[in-house]
Parts: sequence; structure tokens; C-alpha cells
Amino acid sequence: MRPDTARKVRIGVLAAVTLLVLYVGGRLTYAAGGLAEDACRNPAPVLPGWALVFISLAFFGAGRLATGLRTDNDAPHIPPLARAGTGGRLAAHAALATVFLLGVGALAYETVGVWPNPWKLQPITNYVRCATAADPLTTSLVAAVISFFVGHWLWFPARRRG
Amino acid sequence: MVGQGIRWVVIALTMGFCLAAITDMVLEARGMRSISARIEAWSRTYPFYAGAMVLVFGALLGHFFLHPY
Repeated sequence: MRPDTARKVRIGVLAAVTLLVLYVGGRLTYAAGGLAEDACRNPAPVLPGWALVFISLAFFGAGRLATGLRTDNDAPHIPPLARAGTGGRLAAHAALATVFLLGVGALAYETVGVWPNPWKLQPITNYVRCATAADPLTTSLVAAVISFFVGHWLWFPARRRG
Repeated sequence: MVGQGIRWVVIALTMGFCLAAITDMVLEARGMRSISARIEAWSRTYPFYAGAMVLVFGALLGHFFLHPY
């Protein structure tokens, strides 16, 4: 396939994925609004916790294996960050700082949620466990997708020698 | 209230995925390295930090799914 065509195909796939994520997210957002207040008082999980962990770990491993299928950014050709240009380093570190800032925000929210608070906010953990009980299929799908990305990005093969 | 909380979690995840996909589209259109390539370069440069993030991820998995109701 010609490089220009391959690039257009990749952009098309990314656009399709974006639309799919928006569709699924929209449906789940709408469904969450319909949950009754006592939906999570005594949740009876259909899928046991160990099964969800097993699914997540399986997709974590699949994400690692999928690194070998990529040809556009084959491992040995990716330069270490330390040797990237100043602009590239700045962009990577800015993105990383943003991710950590979002993590700090989520932990701050969790702290407020754990304490008795006037806004009746609950810990994010409660929401995740409630979602597990209310819709185990979608929850396991989301957990699998996130686990896949973590395995794909962070469990990366070591640099080949020689 | 519970429904609203789950709604915000879903919105945050959806926006995160969409933002990543749109950023990748822009990078692809401009002929630049993808997000995956950049993160992989980072995790190779800083393997201990990447390992620490994997440990945090594992702890979150256990915290969310293995805790008794």
C-alpha cells in the first residue's frame, strides 16, 4: 500500500474509533442517568471480581503482545526520549504533567468523597463498583480496553541488542 | 446522585479516549510520531517509572474489583 493511502486509512480508522467511543459513551451516559438512587445499596455482582481482574490481566498481556504487530513505530527505530528534539521532549513532558495533574485532581475528589461532605459526593470507587454490579459486560469491556493500552504502552519490549 | 457520579466517570473516560484519538489523527495527518510511539519511548527511557505506573494500575484493579461488597 502506498504511504499516502496507508496514512488516509489510519486517519479513517481513528475517526471511526472516535465516533464509536462517542456513541458508546453517549449511550452509557444516558443509561447512568436512569439508575435509581438505591441501585448500589446492596449490589449483587453477576461477574465475580476475580473474573474481571483475570480479563484485565489477559488484555494487559494482549496489549504487550500487540506491540510486535506494529510496523509503523517498530521498537528499535523509536529514539529514546533523551535524544528527542527539544520540542518533542517539551510536548511529551507537558502531556505527562497534564496526566499527573488529572490524577491529582481525581485523588483530591476521592479525598472529599471519602469524608462526609455537604455536596454528598461519593468516592469514585463506589461508582466503579456500582457500575460493575449494574452493567458487568460494559464494565469489563472498558477495563479490558484500558488494560490493553497499559500493557501496550508501559510493558514495552526492551531494546534489541546488536 | 449515584447515577450522576457514574455519568461523570463515563464522560471523563469518553473524553479522554476521544482526545487521544483526535490528537493521534492530527499527528498522523502532519506526519508526526503517534502518541503510542511517544509513550513507548518514554517508558523505554524511564523503565522504573513505567513499572511504578503498572504497579499503581494493578493496585487500582485490585481496589476496584477484589474488594468485598
